Amino acid sequence: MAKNELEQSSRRKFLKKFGMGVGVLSIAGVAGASVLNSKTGKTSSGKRIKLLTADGKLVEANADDLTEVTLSTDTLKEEARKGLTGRKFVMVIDLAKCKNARKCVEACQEGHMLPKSHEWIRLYLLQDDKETSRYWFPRPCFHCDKPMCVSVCPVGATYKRHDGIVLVDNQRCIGCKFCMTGCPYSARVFNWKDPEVKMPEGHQYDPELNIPPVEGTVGKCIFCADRVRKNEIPRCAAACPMGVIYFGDIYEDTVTNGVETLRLSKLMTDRGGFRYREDLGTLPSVFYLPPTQRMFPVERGLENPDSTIKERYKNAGPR
Amino acid sequence: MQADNKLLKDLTPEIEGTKASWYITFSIFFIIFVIGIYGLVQQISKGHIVTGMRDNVVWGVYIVNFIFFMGLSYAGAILSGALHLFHTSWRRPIIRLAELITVISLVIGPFFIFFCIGRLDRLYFLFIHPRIQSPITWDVIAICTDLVGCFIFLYLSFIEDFAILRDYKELEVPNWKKKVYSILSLGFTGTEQQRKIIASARTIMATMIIAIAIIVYSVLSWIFGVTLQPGWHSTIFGPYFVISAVFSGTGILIILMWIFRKIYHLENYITLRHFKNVGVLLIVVSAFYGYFTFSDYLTKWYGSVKMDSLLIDKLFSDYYSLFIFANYVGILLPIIIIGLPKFRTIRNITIAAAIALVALWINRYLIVVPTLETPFLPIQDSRAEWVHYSPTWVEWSLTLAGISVFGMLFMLVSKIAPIISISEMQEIDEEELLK
Amino acid sequence: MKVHQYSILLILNIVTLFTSNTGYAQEKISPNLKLQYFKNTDDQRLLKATLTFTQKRNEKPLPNREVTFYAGSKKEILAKIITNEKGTASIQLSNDYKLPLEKDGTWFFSSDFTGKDSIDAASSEISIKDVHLEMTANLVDSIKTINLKAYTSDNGKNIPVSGEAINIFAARMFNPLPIIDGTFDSNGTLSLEFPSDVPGDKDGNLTIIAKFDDHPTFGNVEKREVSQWGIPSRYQEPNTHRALWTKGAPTWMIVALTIMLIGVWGHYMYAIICLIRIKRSAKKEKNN
Repeated sequence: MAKNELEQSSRRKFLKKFGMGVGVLSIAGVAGASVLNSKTGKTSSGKRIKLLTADGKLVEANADDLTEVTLSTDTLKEEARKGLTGRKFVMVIDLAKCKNARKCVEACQEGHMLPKSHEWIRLYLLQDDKETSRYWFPRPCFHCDKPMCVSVCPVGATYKRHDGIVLVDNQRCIGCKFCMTGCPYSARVFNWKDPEVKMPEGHQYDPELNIPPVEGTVGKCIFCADRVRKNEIPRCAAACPMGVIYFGDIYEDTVTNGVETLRLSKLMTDRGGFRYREDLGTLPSVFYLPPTQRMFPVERGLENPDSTIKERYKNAGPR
Repeated sequence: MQADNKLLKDLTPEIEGTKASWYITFSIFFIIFVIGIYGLVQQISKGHIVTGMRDNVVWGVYIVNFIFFMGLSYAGAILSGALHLFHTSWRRPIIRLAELITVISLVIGPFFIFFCIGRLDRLYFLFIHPRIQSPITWDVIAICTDLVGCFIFLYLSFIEDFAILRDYKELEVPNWKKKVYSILSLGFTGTEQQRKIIASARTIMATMIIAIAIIVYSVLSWIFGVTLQPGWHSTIFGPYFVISAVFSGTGILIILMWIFRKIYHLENYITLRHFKNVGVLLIVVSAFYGYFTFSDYLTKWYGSVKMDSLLIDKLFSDYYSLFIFANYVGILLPIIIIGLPKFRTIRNITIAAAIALVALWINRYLIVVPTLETPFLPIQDSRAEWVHYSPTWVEWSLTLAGISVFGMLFMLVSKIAPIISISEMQEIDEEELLK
Repeated sequence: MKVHQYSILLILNIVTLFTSNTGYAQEKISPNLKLQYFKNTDDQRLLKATLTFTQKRNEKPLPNREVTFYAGSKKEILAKIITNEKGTASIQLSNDYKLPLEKDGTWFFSSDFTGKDSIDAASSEISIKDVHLEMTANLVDSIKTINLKAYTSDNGKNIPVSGEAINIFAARMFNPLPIIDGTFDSNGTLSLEFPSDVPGDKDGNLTIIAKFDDHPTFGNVEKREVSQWGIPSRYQEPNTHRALWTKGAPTWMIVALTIMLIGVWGHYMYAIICLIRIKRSAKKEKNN
């Protein structure tokens, strides 16, 4: 299933990103070509072919307009460094709703072909003081505006794009792990051994999807840059059954968790949004809503996960 | 070029012939080295999973060794550099040793960075995609510069000796060695003009070596200092690292003085006077080093910053005995042993130096590892082996391999050129004659 | 699946208890087919079927399955489409095609999935009343006003839609942002004041969407209008300044590094020149 998704996504990107010929194709789709309406012979060129788009639309296009476009990894890398113009992505995580369902972790691991030991989004059970309450704390990469990890990278393998996303090019990474010590949020993971994941067939390396993981390089949450380019919210946000994770463009002042779409500024005002450890001055792109008026007691999060997961919260306590 | 006959007779036997003990020692070192290579092969084929490093403690013994070996290189920078500049005459018998320590440890140090890097095959990216903002880039530039500088400095001090050996007719060495001396001496004959040129070049390089050594070690400390991690993010780190490097450099110099004095029978050249003088240097540096250590930890302990408190708590619980040994015993004991005239024997001074050296290595370990075990967000992991760091045999084997290479290189160099500079020693005689 | 209440969870638990007693029927997947009707601002109609199944309380898509679409109660086949990675299959209905009208004046659509091996069959049907939605966005006394009109046709006669709620959205990158809502009056009209603090793009352009969202009778029907009513976003052209985290290093770093390197390597050069001078002087001596 994952493989299929990848193939589809690469085809999609192919449609969205560049590809003149394919652009013609999608326009044809909008113009109303459909299974019920054959327009054969309307154009002078004569030869027309039927194509099935990724959306399941059967469309026709002038064969002369179609060109096969194969994108080199270099082109994909170049595009991945540019990012989306006019955007600045933010995430809002509602701590009041999180109950450690771990669907975000699973969706992330599946989508990025991560080994089970790799978590790009982690769920912490935090307690700031013994007098204060415990709360679940999902931690993706914060995609800081002053990213320590990017500053210290000696080869420019990790970089900050204008749309706010911090990516890692695992074909550039030399594995010095400086970024891991630089990041104050432990957001980065290292491939200590060969993950034994092969690149799916017909797929090329693209830092935006960042598969497969490569031994001796660093990986981290990439805000699902591949999905964002397709106007889809990151996998974790889409997978969360509680709608804990909101994602959006700060310039649009809008965040969505897939079910509800809200004004970011209003959400911040109404719920008292904050960022984790503002004092560090890294200016994260991830905001949190305080764990007030919880929907579920914190303990609920310890009921469902299997024993190995429960094990990790054994010593969680005031710190 | 002619030299005093007695000098030559005393210092050249090790170049002329090799004892069985030399071969045995060398073989032991070589076996350790081969085991290290085996460890490295394991690491390259199976991945870094064979080390004890994991996602929290991403830097371990390798980085500790890297800082440690880079620190040893200070012996040359301070002794040969500073003592040369101040024309201290007692430096002469030990100056070559100090310079060799510098170059050899500078060559070995970076290898530990290579062991730590996940993609060794992409190492050249450091040169083709450099980012000037990264302290690692600063380090690459600084170490390369330091290495070149130290080589030049070492070579400058060797030229006169090569000329002496070239012109020493009774020297019983194979022809290839004579040829090497002849080429490397650049035709130096000891004319007034040549001496002047060499002297000015050495003075310039001595100054450069001191400056660049300070830069290299500060840059090294900034790899830690620029991050936000508790225990690393400290303004004192630059000078603190520099002083601790001098500390370890002095320590290793004393130890090597003892070893070569013993096995190459240099009792007449390296005397108690030298041990005392270098020992006093060790006391002074040790006091400074202790002062820096104290003020660094005091400010962290006194304040109430949460992450600093957590780190201090960890150091005084999980790492209690190591912390006490590294930062109390390792600093105070050398001061006491060398400080009290009654204890000041060659053996005791060497023991003090050895303690200082081990303590400093542990101090480096306590700077690197506990900080990484104290991240801002608590470590919540079900895999116990991912929570606490303990080095594996691979890391230890490579550590020992580093030490054995250090030994082997010294042994090899001592077969090419005398471990005590003949030309420097001759100048002592000339100075005394003038008096 | 969203579970917000304890009671629902309890019921679910009972249900799962019951089903687990029925043996190993769990092996077989019982998919869920959802059929939706969309009519966009250009009056293009789209049918979308979503094939999913529930696994461990997670709704997962069933890709690469064939779904058949039918029109009318006589089940005239419209198309057979393979579901994509999200489990959806969709067809566009041409306006030229005369959809069979039912007796009650609605269109009847159905879709089915025949099932295969370990997957059960599934089907779904909907009745849609074709609604015409009109929207104008004007400034009335400098108030941003949206006027809406909705009606259905019955034998060529327009019948106003009254008492139905409609939502106004601002188009956004991911999902449209709800702005205001209102209910049509008896004339099938509605006038709404559009707030003046909604961010648009950097020029203040804003696409306003009026939409019947999953309406039981009308389906999903929307009307879009590009307006200048947004406040220009805070977007600034990408900053090309030099910082620690940009590609180019801050100028002072480059200057400092250059000075240091030139200083040190300059002295190295001097030392090397010294060596060359020694070599030359030695040669000269030899020749003498």
